[in-house]
Amino acid sequence: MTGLKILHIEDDEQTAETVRDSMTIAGDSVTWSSNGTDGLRTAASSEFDLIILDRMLPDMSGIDIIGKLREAGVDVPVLMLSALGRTENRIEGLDAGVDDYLTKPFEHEELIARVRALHRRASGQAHSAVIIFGDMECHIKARTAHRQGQHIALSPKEFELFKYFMQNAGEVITREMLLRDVWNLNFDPQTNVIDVNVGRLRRKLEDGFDGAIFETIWGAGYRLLAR
Amino acid sequence: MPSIHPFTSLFGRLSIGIALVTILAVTALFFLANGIVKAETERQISSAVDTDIAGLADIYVSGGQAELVERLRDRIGMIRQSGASDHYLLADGTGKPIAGNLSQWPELSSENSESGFISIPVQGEIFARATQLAPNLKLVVGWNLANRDRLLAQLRIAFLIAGLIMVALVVGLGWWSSRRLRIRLAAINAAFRRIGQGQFDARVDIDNRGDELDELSRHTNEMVSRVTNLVNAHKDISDHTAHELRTPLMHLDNRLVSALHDIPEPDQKIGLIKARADIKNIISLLDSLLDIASSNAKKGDRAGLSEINLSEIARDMADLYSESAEELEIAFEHAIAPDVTMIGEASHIQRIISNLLDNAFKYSPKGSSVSLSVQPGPLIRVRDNGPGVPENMREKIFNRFTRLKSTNASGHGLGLALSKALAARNGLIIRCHDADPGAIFEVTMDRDI
Repeated sequence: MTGLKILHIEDDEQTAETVRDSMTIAGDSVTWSSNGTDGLRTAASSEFDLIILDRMLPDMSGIDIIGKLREAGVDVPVLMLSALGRTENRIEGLDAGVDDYLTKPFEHEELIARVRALHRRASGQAHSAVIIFGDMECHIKARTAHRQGQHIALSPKEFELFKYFMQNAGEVITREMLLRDVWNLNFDPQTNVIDVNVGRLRRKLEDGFDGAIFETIWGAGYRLLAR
Repeated sequence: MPSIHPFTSLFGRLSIGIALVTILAVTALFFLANGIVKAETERQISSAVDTDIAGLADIYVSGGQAELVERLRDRIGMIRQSGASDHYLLADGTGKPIAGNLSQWPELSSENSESGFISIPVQGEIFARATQLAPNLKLVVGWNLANRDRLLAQLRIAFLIAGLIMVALVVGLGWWSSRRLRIRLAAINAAFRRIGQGQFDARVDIDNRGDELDELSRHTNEMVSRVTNLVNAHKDISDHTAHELRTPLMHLDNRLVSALHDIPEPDQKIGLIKARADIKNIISLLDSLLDIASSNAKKGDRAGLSEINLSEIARDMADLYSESAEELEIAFEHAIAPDVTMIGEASHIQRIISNLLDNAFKYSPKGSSVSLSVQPGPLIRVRDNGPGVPENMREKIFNRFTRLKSTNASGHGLGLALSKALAARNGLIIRCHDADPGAIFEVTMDRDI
């Protein structure tokens, strides 16, 4: 993937630096606007692949900015990066039209994974009936999973999880993404339910086969590897 | 906008009441007038009969019986021509008719000069007086009541028309004024409804008539402004607290990440990793406190709540936790009735169930069992076979920062307080019971909200 052009609207200089460092390492270029007015002008003046938007800016709120952007016909995917991290705040942000919501402080890997996932989703990858990745196959309609041509029996939820991994194969998938996209949860349960569920899918897909296909990314989540 | 049935509306009932009172008043007035007119016309008839009988007695005294008979014939002849219908009878002592147009002596005593209403064929009721002219001669004079009856009939028609006009006027006036009142009160009600739905910019238009409703509208607007300010201040404080605390914590976290990067020794890294976990804990503590405050502030507010399928939510949560149960070697059973719905916010209910299941698994030893059930009502029940909750703690554990001393479980002691606040926000209440052994947490409708 060639680097993305990202606009970051953020008043906190340190956060701006952190985001720039993370995304530059990932191969993207970041333009920084330190307030809403400047951010809106920049968003209108040149083309960006993605906007990272702070929730609380000195001159206006991120919620107002997303409204103005969408009004002006800018349909670039927006990731809200906010210090307001309660479920209520997330729902407010998503209702206002942002495409994803990440709270501060965040792990670099989480930010990169979210940006990648959001860009993938926005660039509208065609969802074919069968997803093939390495030696794995996911038949969307038939709801079946195969590895090395062998059928793997999965429960309905396990299949949903497998499908999500296959749709985002090769990319980092964080626990929060799994909670939100597979279990439709906007909060983090106290216990490690996600790890346990991924662990079970992993055993089903790895037991009896050569080579691990799940990579655990420390502090972030998982990645599905091709074998 | 929900409309109020005319019969339940204050104004509908008021209009009906006024109409009924008007009908009653007109009816009472009619009976009064009827009584007066009747008495007066009867008095006039009575006095006319007296005058007539006195005249006839004079004729008898001056001209004798023959003269009287002659005069009576004249009068009866005139009666026939004029169409009037007065009645006379001259009879002997036994009541045998001598002259006149009455066929028989009525039930009136001539010795006492008795008068009264008597019934005669064809004419019906008449007013008559009898008198004794001589020991063997008596006379009765009767006048019919056509005059009285005509007057009373006219009175009835007059009152009927007047009554109808009055009732129509009162009902019309009542309808018109109640419509005006209803429109103005509906505007106030609509404003409250919009505020209830979270539109804090709603205001009532003021008519500037200077009446009570204007005052009510003004008070309403003032109150709404104050509530809006309070709500905004609350949101402002919580948002700013979160923002102003999270930002420095994030800077701190960034420094720890840089330090982790720079320090090669794994032993030293552990401390830094723990410090990062502490930061996460502080943030989650802060979020929980703000969530509790926000839920408490919104208790009873139906805005943002919609019909949700509780069974589906519970099934998904059961599914999510069943793997954990297996890993913890705890038997996890769930009995979820299909299609149980309620008015609420799905993420809140998910969180309540998740908190209760987290707790149940946290406190249950290996080999024990945990169950989740959902029944219509709705009733959500989470049961475990752990150490249970002592009776004196069953209410206190829902307070913030309260933990059971006997356990050494992690967490900041806000899970149940948050669950309770979220439940209240959704019109629910959580109670803790003894499962002997273990604890039962039941979430039901709170009838007090």
